[in-house]
Amino acid sequence: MEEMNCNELVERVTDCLEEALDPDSLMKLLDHLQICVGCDNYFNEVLVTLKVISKLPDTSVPNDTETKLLAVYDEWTKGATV
Amino acid sequence: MTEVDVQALRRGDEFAFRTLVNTYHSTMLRLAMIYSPNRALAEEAVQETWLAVLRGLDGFSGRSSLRTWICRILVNIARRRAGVEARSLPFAHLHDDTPSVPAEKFFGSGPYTGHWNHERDDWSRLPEDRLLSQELQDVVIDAIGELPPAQREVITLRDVEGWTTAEVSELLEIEDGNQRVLLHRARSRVRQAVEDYFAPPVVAA
Repeated sequence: MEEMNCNELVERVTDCLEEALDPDSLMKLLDHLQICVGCDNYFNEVLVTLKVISKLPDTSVPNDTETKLLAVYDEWTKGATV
Repeated sequence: MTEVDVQALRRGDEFAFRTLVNTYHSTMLRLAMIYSPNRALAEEAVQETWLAVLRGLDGFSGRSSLRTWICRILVNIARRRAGVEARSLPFAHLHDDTPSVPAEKFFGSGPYTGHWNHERDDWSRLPEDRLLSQELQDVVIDAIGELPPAQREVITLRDVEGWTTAEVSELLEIEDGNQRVLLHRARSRVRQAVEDYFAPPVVAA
């Protein structure tokens, strides 16, 4: 069975996280991670990046926008065309 | 949002509407920003969407989730305002075959062909506060902002907003496999931006 190289592994990380790898490729990827510090670190880099992305702050609704939308909603509930 | 909330909206429950607007504003603004040249125009697209949502609410069948339905209206409005063909986007960048990591980071010949030619930093040693810093968040926001629109849509919904694969495929009308390709490209580029931030690439003098 041919092994997976580092430059191949970096292209399969998302497939792995999405659970879209076939069993054979998954085995090769996991085997490679066990013996390759570089790829183990790379995999972690992806996970760290995802963690940062998932914690980006939300923006809140500007007050005047909310007031405007509530007025529109009020009209709408009275049967007006909005 | 549950079915009960939709009923409350139709009844004219202001609290339900306020909750809805506040719950989805951030997601909608992020999506609108993908097509809008600036924040003000993105805000306009979001407001136009709310009007369309109210007009269409009685016809909402519940086949999609409420947020998928609302966000589809938003995407259509934002794309139309930007003059983008509604269906031309998702596939435009699928054939981006830029490698996730530049080829020069690997041995190009010899017994270690295809293996890393350098040691990689261990990010698990980074202190938590560096990962939560405003500066790093800005790096990530900028990197996402520079992605091609189709990649940006997918990473925004999946990784920023935490939507499921199925929900994103439904909203963007793309296949799961195509979604994975776009997600992979997007994540790879953002990861590279974070790497460059932690260890700026050495520029030859």
